[in-house]
Amino acid sequence: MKYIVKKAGTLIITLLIVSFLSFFAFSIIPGDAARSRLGTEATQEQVEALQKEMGLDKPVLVQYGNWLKNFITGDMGESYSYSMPVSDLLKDKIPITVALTLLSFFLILLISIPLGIFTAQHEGKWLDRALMVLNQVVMSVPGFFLGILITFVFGLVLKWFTPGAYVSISESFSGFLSYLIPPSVAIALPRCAMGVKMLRSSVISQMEKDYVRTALARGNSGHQVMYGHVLKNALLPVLTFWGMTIADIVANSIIIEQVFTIPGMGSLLITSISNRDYPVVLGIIMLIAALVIVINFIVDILYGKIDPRIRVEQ
Amino acid sequence: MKKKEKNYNLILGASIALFMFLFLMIGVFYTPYDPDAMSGSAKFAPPSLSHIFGCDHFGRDIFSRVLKGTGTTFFVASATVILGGGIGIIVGAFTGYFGGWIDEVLMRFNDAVVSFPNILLALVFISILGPGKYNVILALAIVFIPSFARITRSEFLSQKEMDYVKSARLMGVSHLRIMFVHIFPNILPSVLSMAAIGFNNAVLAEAGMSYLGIGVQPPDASLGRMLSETQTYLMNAPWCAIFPGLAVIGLALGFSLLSDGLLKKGGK
Amino acid sequence: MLLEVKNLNIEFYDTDPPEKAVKGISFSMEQGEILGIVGESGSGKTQTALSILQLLKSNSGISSGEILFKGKNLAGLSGRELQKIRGKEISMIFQEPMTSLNPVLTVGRQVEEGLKLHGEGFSKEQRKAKALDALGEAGLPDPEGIYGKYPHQLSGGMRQRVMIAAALVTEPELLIADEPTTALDVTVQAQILELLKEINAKHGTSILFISHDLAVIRKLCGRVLVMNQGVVVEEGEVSRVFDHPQKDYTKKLLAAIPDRRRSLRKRRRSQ
Repeated sequence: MKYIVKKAGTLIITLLIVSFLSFFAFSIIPGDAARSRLGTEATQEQVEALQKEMGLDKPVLVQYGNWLKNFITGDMGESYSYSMPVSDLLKDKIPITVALTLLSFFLILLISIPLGIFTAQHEGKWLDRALMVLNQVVMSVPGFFLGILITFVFGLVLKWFTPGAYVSISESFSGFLSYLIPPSVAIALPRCAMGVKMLRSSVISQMEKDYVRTALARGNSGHQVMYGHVLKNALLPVLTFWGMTIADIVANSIIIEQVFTIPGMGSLLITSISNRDYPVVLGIIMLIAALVIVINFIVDILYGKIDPRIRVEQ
Repeated sequence: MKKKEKNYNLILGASIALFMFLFLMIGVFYTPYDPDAMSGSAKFAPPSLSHIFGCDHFGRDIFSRVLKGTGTTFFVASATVILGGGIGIIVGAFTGYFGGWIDEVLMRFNDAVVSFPNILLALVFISILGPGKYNVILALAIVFIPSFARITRSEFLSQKEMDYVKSARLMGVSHLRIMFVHIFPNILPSVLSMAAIGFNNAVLAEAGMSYLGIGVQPPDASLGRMLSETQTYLMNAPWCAIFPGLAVIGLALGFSLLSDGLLKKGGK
Repeated sequence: MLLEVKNLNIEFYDTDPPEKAVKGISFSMEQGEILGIVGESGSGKTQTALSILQLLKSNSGISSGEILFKGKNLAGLSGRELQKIRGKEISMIFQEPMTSLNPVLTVGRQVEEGLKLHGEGFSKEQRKAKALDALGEAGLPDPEGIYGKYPHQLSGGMRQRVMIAAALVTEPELLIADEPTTALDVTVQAQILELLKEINAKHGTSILFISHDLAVIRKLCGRVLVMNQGVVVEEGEVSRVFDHPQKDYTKKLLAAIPDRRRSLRKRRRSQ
């Protein structure tokens, strides 16, 4: 319990640091938010009035305090370019990005766990070698190019799906999900490759441990040793990797959303960066930061659940 | 005699990286066509002897454009690794060697940054700095500093306890000399491996940002931008996208294999 | 005859040419006997012990010879047939009690495993009762409490007792103990030896005991094999080998013990 409280404390501090740095970075950039909102023809008085209204005349720390207070209550400010609250803008986008992330993550687990175990069990054999070469290649394919290839092969040539024909959740939930499958494959594959590589080397190093010999001496079959003894130990280091993967998926979905024209958070972020619409950018960054940190927190707790040594030490 | 296993990763990685390097060096001195010259008659020309990678929607020669684009990507990635890696290594060396409260604070900060996705941080910096080749380098370099610092720090932490460092210290060698003349050569394999994987990440990040249109800007040739421009014509002219994509993969794959190979060479 | 090893050869394959770890050794064991194998590291004693249940690492293997257990050649058995013998008829304990237990599984789960794998239809409750008995018999206080603990919560001596409990819960005929006391301190070492003696006397379990420590062998074993560089140098009753060694190598090994005692006495006197 003490362990969890301590972890939660670190989590909140990290969130504060990230948010302050982002806020500070955006506040020192050249170009005045008030002026960019009013256009170049606005008079000096108009600009100053708006600055006062937006709280831009106060010191950065005060501005940050106000922003933080509002953020906690769910008010992320107003978008410059859409003239509507950021939270309203994000409300529709979040489910799309979350669905894409979860689907990709699910695919990663589904593919990388069996393959990681398989390649470890067949270490050095030709099938393992072939898979590891393929693995290394897949790791080096940029997700968006994979997306383009998938669009070409499965969308245009084989016609398994219609590229660009996005279906919203309200139209049809199953249609929405099936539209997300090709992009999540594009996101998942490179990370599957990394996952396979990690799990494989983790399993191989566990197989050399003394307890494996004990388990064999007790009459376990190779299968029983793997699933009853090795896997739980081998998953520990991979768990951290999976935690980091979720953050990575979110980041990569920003690019993949462009390839498959999915109107998620990524598309909004790119448009907002181009428009220098900082409240929106800041809001999205904060949401992702919060997500990353919360996931790390969950991973830490899971780690403690699987590994009894951590649970007691803390 | 222990049997030695060949380091295929190192050999293959070095070969691919060298091949890509030679390829882009051609582009520095010679391209078969002006990479920006448009030609109405060559529009969507498929690969042939005169245009070995074919032509794009403006009739531009894709081979020439890939040559130039690979050069840009290589330049951005190298500059990123030199800048970000250089600063990261110096920070990591000092914090690891001297320790103390600065080390504590920096590492806490590092932990927070490292857990945050690279590309997203780079996007934040780009949104502040604006797009363009040099801003991409700056943004990626800043983003890469923490991971370089972290690895260098842990290497220095373990090296400084070694006897050769202690005896050098007893002989009155200065700290700076110990750090960079005595310790640094010993951690070189892991530094090189780290640089290679950093290069790989930089290639993928640059390509991704340019694909999004917020990376390298015209007139600089860019593989990522070529991919986003020609994506619409995928059905009729797939070569427009495939060759730039292969060039990105070649660069990334060569350096990721190289990193693995170097890691193995340095004793896992 | 319980165990008969005939002309056993073991090789390491990861060197070129293959290095011979065990060179054509032969020995046998009677039911209920405690046989010791003593030798320095690299003598091939551990390889011999591991080869009986075919637990050698993949870089080494039996190149020729027979290992007859109750007349059946273990060296020629398939994986599945071996599994039926491992942990059921022959159990094994190892040198490192710290790492030989699985760190993420409870003690109870690991002690019960033999019953789960070999026990003919024991219920969950029966398995637990038997595991608790075995833990108690292995000399662990509060078996109930230890049952739910994880290995890292126990001391080295307790872990070795857990290993012994897990090995004996299936009531095997032969226990192979590969340097089980080496990693433990002297008082715990004596307790574990005492425990093995008790088990031998009570259940008639035969024990093949591997050690580099002559003093330990002398306390426990009836008969001893002295191994050096892959061959058996000398074999015989412990009292005979220790009091009237025939071979130079054995004499050299023995020379270490009295010396130590003498020096201990000297040190005590001078204090």
